[in-house]
Amino acid sequence: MLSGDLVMSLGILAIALALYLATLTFPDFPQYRAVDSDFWPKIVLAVLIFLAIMLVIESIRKQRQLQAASQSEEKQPEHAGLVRMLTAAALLLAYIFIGLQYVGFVLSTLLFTVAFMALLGNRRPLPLVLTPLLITGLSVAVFSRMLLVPLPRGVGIFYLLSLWFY
Amino acid sequence: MFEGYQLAFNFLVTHPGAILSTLIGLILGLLIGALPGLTGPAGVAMLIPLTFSMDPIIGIVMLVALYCGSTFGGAITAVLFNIPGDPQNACTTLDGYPMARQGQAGKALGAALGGGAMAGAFGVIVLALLAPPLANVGLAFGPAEYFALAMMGISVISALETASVWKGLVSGLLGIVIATVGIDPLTGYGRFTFGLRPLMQGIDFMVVVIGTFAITEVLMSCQEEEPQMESAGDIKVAIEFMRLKEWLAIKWTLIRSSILGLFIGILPGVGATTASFVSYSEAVRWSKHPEKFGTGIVEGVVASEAGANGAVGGAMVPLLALGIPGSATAAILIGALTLHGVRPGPLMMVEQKEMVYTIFVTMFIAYLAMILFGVWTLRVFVKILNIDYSILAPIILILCVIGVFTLRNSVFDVMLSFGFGIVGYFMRTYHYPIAPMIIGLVLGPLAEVNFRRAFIVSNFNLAGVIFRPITAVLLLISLASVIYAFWKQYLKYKKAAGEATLKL
Repeated sequence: MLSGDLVMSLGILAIALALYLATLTFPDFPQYRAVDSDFWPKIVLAVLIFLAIMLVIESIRKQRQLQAASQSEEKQPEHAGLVRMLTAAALLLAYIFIGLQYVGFVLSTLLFTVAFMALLGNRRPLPLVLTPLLITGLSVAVFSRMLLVPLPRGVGIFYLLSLWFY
Repeated sequence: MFEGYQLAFNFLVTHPGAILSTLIGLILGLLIGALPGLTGPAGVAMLIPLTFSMDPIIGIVMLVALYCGSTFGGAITAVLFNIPGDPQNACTTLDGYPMARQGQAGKALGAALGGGAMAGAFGVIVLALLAPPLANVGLAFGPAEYFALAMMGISVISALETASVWKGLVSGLLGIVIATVGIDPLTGYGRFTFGLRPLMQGIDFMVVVIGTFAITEVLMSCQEEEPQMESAGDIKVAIEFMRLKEWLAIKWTLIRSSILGLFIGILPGVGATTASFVSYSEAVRWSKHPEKFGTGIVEGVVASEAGANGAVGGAMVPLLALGIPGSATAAILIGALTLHGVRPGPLMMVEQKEMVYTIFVTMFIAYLAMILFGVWTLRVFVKILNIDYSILAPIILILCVIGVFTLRNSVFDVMLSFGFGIVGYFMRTYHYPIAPMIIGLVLGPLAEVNFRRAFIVSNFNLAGVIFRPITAVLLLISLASVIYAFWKQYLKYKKAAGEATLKL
């Protein structure tokens, strides 16, 4: 099996190669001649490609060594922790993508905070209710009222709802 | 010079808010530093939006004080809970926690606070003496010199602050690549935008910083088992300052660590973390009783904290004089300056005299206040530090989201920041250092534009760019730092291989 380290370095190599190919499509600006738009990215990406290849070699060598010494390749994070991290990432993504774009700041922040607290094992009812209210209230007060940040309002009925608060 | 201080005092007298914001920044910094889930750079980045509506000087002064406070704050957690609040306080745990277990927590905190504040204040004095003349030198720098300076910043941090040199360099280069996204400042062509309009303006460095520091930090913490805050017995500690005689006994350690910290801070890119590790190991090396280090002696605590805090003033030297960050947090301060419409560079000393000298004065005030507030805030902190991570985590994330959103009122930026949070997660998991990426991101455009300008000025002759005295020296230093790092890695590898064959 490929070690995570190897996959990571291959990924970097792939990105660097793809971006290098993209520089070939940059248009020419004759007045800049040798130092055109693609000049610097090409140098940087070439070095990056070289380094990524070295990383690939290094991680293959390390993997072989470990296999020769018949050690497990790397410390795997425990399963429960990984699930918790992935759920946290999914919650944050939903909060940003659905919450901020469609539902608006107030309601989505309330829900996000409750969900995140529950995810991290906080099951006491009083904090679960009070903390989200406090956090949402404070951020609306500070950012919207004091600092005049146009917090997202959401669309449709959510937009109308947000007008109550700020 | 005196005119500068006159301007600063005038400003402070006519704007009492400046002192207040210094103190608020300091206290917030102490708290952010002390909280293990929140590092100084992430804290500074998260609070930048709060300063938008302030006078630029008052806002910047607050962020600088926050930087000072956050560098020390982690010592509190290091001593009391054996968890460094921030990486630069890691060495403080070595002697601080054993002291706490022996019932000397108050003395350890007093030593950390005293040593840290003295080294910090010393750093500020040197900063105030060194930055103005250095800026004068900087005024004579052309594009070639600036290019070399930026390259030095990127290579020094990539090579020195990492476990694998390859990974450090890759991280630095990734930062430079991210910085090339968007409109090319010379030709006006939008590079690497892939048809996404918001990318035309480039990727704001705040988006990357908040993603890779703060969001990544929370994701990593979610994955770990809850960190158990095991306190060293009685946490109702009162700070206890050492007597003059005890300070005099360790005066050489204090002086050596402050100076080391300062110089490491001045080096572009590397900051408090390297400073505290180096000054701790030097303290052990120079000591007549090296075996006592790690068993709980004040000298160890002072060495670590004086190194870390001395580096703060040092890191501000290249920042205020040349517009080159001396540490990762300084890189974020550069971003803050830009957002406030200040152009970092040697001209700051002329154009922003009032701001620069006010920073000198308020930093000094911050270190004096640290001794007073350190004692006072500790009691409150011990309570706050027991805050449940399940409450802290959503607060951090919401502040991140609002912070990024505020930049351009764009949800796209927030999504992008989330993406960098994921990138940061993989980088941290596979031991790619993140600081080089941030420095690359800040210095990349500087390096690029100046390199290209130098090329044009020298009529497309590479030798004309590189073989200028200052440029050549700076580039040689960059090269030397990379070669040295590879040499060190090779030695370590050989040693490890040797041990492996011994075992077999």
